[in-house]
Amino acid sequence: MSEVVMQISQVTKVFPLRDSKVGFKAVDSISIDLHKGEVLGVVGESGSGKSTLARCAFGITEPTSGGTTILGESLVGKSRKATRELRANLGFVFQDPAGSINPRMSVYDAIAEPLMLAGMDSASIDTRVNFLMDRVGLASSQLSRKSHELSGGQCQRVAIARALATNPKIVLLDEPTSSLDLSVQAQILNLLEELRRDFDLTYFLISHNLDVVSHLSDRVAVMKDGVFVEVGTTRQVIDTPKHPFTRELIRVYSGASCEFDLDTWQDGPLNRWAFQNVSTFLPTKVIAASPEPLSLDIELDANLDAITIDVADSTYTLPELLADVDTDSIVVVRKGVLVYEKYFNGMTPDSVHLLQSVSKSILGALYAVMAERGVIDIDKPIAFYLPELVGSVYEAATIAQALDMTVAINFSEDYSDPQSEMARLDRAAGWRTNTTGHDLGLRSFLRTMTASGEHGKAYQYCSANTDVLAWLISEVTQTPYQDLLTRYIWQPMGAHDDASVIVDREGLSVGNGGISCTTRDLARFGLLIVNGGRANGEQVIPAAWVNATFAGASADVESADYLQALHPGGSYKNKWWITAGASREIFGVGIYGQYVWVDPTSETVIAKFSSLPIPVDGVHSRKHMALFRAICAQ
Amino acid sequence: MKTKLAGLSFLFKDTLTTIATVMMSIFIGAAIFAPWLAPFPKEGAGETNVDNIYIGPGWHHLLGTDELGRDLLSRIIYGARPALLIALAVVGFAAIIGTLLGLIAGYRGGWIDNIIMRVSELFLSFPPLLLSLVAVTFLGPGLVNALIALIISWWPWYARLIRVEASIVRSKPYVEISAAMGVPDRIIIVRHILRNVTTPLIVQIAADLGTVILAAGSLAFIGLGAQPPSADWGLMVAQGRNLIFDQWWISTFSGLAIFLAVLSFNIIGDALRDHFDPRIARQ
Amino acid sequence: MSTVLKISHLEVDFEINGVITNTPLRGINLEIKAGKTLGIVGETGCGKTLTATAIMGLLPSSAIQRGEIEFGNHGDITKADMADIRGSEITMIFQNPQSAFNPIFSIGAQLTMVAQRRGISDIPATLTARLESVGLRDPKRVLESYPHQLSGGMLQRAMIAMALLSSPTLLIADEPTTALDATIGDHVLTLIAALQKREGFAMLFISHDVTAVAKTSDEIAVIYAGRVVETGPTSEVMKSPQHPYTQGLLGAIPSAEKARGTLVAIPGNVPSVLTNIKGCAFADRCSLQMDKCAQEPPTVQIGKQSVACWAVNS
Repeated sequence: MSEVVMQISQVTKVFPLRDSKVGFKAVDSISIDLHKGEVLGVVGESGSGKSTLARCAFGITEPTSGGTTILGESLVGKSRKATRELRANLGFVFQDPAGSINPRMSVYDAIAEPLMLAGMDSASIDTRVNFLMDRVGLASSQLSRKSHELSGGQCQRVAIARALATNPKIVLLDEPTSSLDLSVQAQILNLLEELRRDFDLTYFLISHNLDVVSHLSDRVAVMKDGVFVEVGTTRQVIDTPKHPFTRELIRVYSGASCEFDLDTWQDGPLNRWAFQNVSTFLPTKVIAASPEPLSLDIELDANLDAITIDVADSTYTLPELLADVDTDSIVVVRKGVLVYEKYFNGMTPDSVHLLQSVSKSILGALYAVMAERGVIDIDKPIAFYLPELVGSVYEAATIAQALDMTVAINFSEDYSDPQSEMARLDRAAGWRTNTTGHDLGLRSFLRTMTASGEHGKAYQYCSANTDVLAWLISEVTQTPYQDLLTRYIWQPMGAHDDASVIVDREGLSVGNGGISCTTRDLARFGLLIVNGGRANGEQVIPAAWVNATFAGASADVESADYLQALHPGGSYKNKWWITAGASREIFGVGIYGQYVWVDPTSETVIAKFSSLPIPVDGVHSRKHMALFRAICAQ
Repeated sequence: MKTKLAGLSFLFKDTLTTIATVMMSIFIGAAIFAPWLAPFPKEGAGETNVDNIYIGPGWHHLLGTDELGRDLLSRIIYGARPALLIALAVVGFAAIIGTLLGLIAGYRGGWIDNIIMRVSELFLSFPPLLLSLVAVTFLGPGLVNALIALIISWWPWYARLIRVEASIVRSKPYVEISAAMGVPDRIIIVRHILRNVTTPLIVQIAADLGTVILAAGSLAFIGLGAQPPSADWGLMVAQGRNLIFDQWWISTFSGLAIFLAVLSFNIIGDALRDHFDPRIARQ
Repeated sequence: MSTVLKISHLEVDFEINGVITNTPLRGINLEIKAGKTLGIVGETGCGKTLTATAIMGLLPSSAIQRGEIEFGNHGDITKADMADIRGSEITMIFQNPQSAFNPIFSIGAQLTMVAQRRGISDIPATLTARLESVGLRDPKRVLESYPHQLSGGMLQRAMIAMALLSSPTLLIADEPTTALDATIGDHVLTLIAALQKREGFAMLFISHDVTAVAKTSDEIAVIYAGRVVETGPTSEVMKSPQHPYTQGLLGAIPSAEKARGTLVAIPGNVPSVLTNIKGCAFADRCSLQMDKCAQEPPTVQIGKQSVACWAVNS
């Protein structure tokens, strides 16, 4: 590779904040080299720190630590003259074309200023200015004009001419075309490329526009929150992006349609938005927060970012693996203390996210409370409480069997097949467009389900079993499902924020996956389990039920291959997954990467939301298991 | 030259401004050519004529005579001189001091900005006339001392104005680029910053000239400014005030002179602002 | 499918002291179908926003308007007292949500005012449901907040909620994502698309960003110097643009795939609104210019696209 003309090393910039001793770290120890003749493009959104990085690198702003060397020499600690001579190697083009030229100066004076400073005589200045005007495509008749007499594109041409006046080696292009119209932007981009070739220039290009950056750059650095999340050749970054943010940017700029589609919202990439916004396109009901929320002590463990995780022949650091599995958020609570918390994809501690089938595990806890209070007998057939289901599979299947997923039912849980019972269930729940006009509403759909054999013998995962239980319990108590959750789980466990549950067209809650809540509240729910059902000094759910769940399913129940493949010896009980690993972890899991992970041995709870592009696959599941176990092992 | 004259057309953009421009021209003309314009130049300069005291306005003495028999018109014409002098001197010095400090504070920022701004706030925390009064009390009455007193209370306004403007211009890309290229501070201050703060400066100066005439008049009125026998409008209003019911013309006409001078300066100040402020000019 | 809005031969002059100073709109013909999105794309000063302003009846008094704006079965809404339609059946969202709210009133007070004007009963419940439907999780807090207390994204959502309070038939979105980061803007577009799917309003989407328009629109209208130069289904126009200006505009979008330095750069600039345009406004920037271009080109149908260009015509 050609020689290094600029070396940016460990540049950090911290801006003081009014209410903080630490300050705001706009740029976090970034190092990168610029090679002669290359274009390095930094792409990032507002507040990513890209402009601050450029300013620090080019000596416009003083970095808090770290620095730049230009052609092997440092920008600081030199005499004025030496600094000025070194700076003659730098050129600057900024976003605001009109603001780049002193409104009181003519075009000639603006371009001549750096030449005068360099001590050039007036005849040579004349020649040079005319040469530059010609090269940037401006007529010499424009020389006497002032900035307000020029168009935006012309102003930017003048700014480029001035930047090139002293024959610089490296030019900073900070959003050079962002305030120009598309057709003018194209003129300027073509001009910049032509000048780079003719004068052997090196560009440090900063822009929020991925199209501009990827068009002009040899290498692209994607910047977010003060760090480069991804650096590589333009082709590498565009063709095989590693970081979800890069993938998101590429998708946004690809021109992919924003058409919202009720049939595909659960798949990537629409789920990246949809999982945080179900209430905008589906009807929901509120599960109310506790008036006295359980406070979480926060003591962040910086070591966690450094742990390495081996999975599928690769080694990842924790941040790398989180990025790899399209994490939206993660909260880790160890021995009651919040030790790790990260948010991505626009999420914040206040954002809610769809739980998918983790909702089932919450239903499991509600049933424990209901059974203990004697509201229901879980060994009774479901149709005992819901006589309208007589004649369906639920005439014989008991509540306990539905809780443990041992109902023998003609039901295909195939998420990718639009003809499967799962797809029909989604249509009935309103999660998909109801094209046929059949299966309107959960109740009428559940009535059509038929038995496939003897119940209680074999494990068979079936989402409909949870919906029928949500219906049953609100029917028996004559109370809406969301109100039961509020009263018996959400408020007693000390939820900080309101959660919500999706309802079907008849207002019946979608028990199999309709809950949305904040990441911290999901962690609070996990805490309830790891603490043996206790929260705020109260027994919220019976300890016996928690212990029974940890113990797993009875050995008599025939397991399923896919369950054994992931968790040898594992089972499903009370709407929870039991790993049968050394630590006897249990967890709730939802499609597209939703988890609540409870490890009783290390007393660790992990709540994690994702928006994976596909509902389930072994690779992502294994990565998640490895990730959770590595965190709990700390 | 033609373009320069055309550039002054804003002074005649409407009737009111045209009248103000004419008034201001008369006022400046009177100050310069007082000895030739005044019907009784000697009386205007202070010579008394006790035979003619308290003559009402009439053909011989258009505006009447004062308590020492001097032709009031001549006195008022001569009075334009100290008025203009004090206005130009006060505004001039205040603008120079204020601009210099404001540029340094605005461009440099940091502790030096803090010091300059705290000092100017100290001055601004007194009502301007009160501050001038205190200063004159220390320095003693007289035209020069009044002038110094007014400069003391006037410069902080300029320092603050220029500081704000300078700090806005400082963050413009062309200043950042120049600084990054290694252009020395003093060149940046003069070439880029000063040149881009002149508009608000001119507008402020034009608006202040009238106000200073008023303030100087007020000082003279309470006896702390110009002293007899100089022809000063404020002094003349003061001397005539006990006679306002019998010899009404003395206070009335000299007061009217102040009123018209201040008014025309203010109207022209507005016209200047409309002309220079690019935001308004563009519409 | 029924037509919600039909604009025919819309022209706007500005007149100062009886003298026509410029004609920023020189013939806008547009049609929006119920439940569909029409995207207007064009560069600065081509008349995009002015078209929206004319539809909303918000042109300044110095403007003289010709042509017809027919809305649903109300007929021409430029005539008669149709003010009530605007603001209830046609509503608008803007680039800057700050401009849609008065800083001295709470969001709740302002939404209530709008709801009262629209004759909505049970205002508190309606407002809460509305805010939730645009993804604002804590409607109570939002209603109590003043505009400056909300983030840009939240304010944007509140503005969308306000525009949808009256369940409009047509929503005009004027550069709704221009001031936002690309990923956030994409979320807003998805939100609007989801709401459109749920509530079935038609939309006029105005932007300088070809990519954003292509993402959201069923039909696209390219506008240049106050005239629609090409319209058609978005996929068709993006795939095979017919007008030289549309071709230039699409060719000017940079990307990693295009070789560096080879973007289509239309020479020159968009003509200033003060220019007195004769014939085809694009002629002097056009590589296909011919003698006929001195006359106004008629609009011809090519497949599903309508194009105003002599070169395509011949």
